[in-house]
Amino acid sequence: MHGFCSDVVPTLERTSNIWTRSPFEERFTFQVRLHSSTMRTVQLARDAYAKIILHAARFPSSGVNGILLGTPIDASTAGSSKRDFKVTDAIPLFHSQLNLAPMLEFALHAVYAYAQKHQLSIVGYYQASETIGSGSITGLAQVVGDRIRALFPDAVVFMVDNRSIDHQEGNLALNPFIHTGSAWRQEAESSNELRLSPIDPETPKFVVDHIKRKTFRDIVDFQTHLEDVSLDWLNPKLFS
Amino acid sequence: MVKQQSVSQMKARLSELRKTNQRQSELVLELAEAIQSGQGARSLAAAFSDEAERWDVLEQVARAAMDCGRARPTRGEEESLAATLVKQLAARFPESNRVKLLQGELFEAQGDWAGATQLYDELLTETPNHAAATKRKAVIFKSRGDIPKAISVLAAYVQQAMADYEAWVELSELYLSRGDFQRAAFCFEELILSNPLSPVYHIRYAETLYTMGSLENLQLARKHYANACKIQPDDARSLLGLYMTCSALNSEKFIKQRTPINEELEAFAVSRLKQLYSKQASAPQLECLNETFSKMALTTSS
Repeated sequence: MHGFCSDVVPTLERTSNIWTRSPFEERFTFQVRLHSSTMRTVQLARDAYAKIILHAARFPSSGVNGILLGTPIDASTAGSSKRDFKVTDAIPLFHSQLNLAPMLEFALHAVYAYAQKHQLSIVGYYQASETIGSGSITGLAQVVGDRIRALFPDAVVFMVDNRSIDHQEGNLALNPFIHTGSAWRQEAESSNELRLSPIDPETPKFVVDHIKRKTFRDIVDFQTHLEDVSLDWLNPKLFS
Repeated sequence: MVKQQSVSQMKARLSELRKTNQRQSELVLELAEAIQSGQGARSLAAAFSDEAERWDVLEQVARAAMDCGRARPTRGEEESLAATLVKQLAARFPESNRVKLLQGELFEAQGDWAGATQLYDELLTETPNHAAATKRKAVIFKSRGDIPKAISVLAAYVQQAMADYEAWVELSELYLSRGDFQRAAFCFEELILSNPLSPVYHIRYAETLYTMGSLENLQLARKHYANACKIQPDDARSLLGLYMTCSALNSEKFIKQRTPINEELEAFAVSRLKQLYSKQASAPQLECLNETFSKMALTTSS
């Protein structure tokens, strides 16, 4: 069922399935306020994206994963829908035995406690596979994604696109996945359903610069923190 | 990272990395470059007058180069660093199986699976149970995404090479990646039998059991977590694992099987963790830990 969502006034500048205004549709729009698509905009903070890539760079021969934190974008802003949100931070979690439950569960509780305290939401999950691969979504990513969706229905899953991690094309090295209601589906960065946009246009350059400077050597994930609790998975000083 | 050291210190560091078999490829490359320029040598080989050391170093640096994207020529290179080093080794040791293995690894790093497999098969024809060649063949399947085939090669291998810990660990990871926790658990059992004092295997076994989730598995997980805490006190992962397992056993689901020891162990884990964080972790981290414990105590209500 396309594009019926209760709150937003139709915006014709968005891609719409309903261009021809038949008399039937005219009447219909009074009864059900029409959102012209199920599009959501996900803004991506520079440092959040950089942490994802640096986490992957820190452990190049392993799969890595982590949590995305963020906030909804104010729905009263013109052109935005209730479903838009901003990814403000990435919390790196593990770099081995990714699908063993106990530490993952505790980490989710800990990140959730942190998020609540700072008026943030858990808005998604990221994972980089061990091999170059296709960047397609894994069973684990779907399970964690589903868990996150229970509290944040518009959650996204980012699978790192290992092939473009050198950022030579200047694009984000991510394959974004959204949930259609029955399954996780890969979207292009700009499609009918999703617009993934970096807040800072210099984001790819920033990441390449930090890879060259080997900043990834200093990144701490939850697993590293467990080996030495004096290391902080919040990575407060990573980019200073 | 390696600036303030003398050439002999750097050579010693390389030697230490070889002896302890650490995969620190970036560091090895940096050291090699620094040693070569430090000696003003025209090649890495020329920087090592000690013959015995020279060839070990070339092999070590070749592997590091393959790890760091130097298996194919970079801009400005006619031949990749790894290829140059392997060539030099092959010229010095033309009949060597050790060099043949390294050549196979180079093919792998270049994505030439057929070339690599052919070399490994030659090694296996000569030595039917050649450990390294068998394991590399398994890994080629893994690199190509064929985990089931990788598992079958490695599982057959460990049947007759039961003392090869590295293979058991890799096999456990392959099973885990497939969600085959039962078989991964079996691998950890083998590893624990041969390394009972290594906390790592107890922890991983416990984590696998926890993931499988039944009452028996959780109880067994608790035992192994407790053992890990005993072998390596103040290890956050073991303590947290003990906490999580006790917490799961204290839940509604297993209310009939509640025991006092479970409560005691949970309290022990929490108190030790709080002590550890108070001593070593940052204030925000300690705060987060306390918050997490209180929130979790609320959700696993009795």
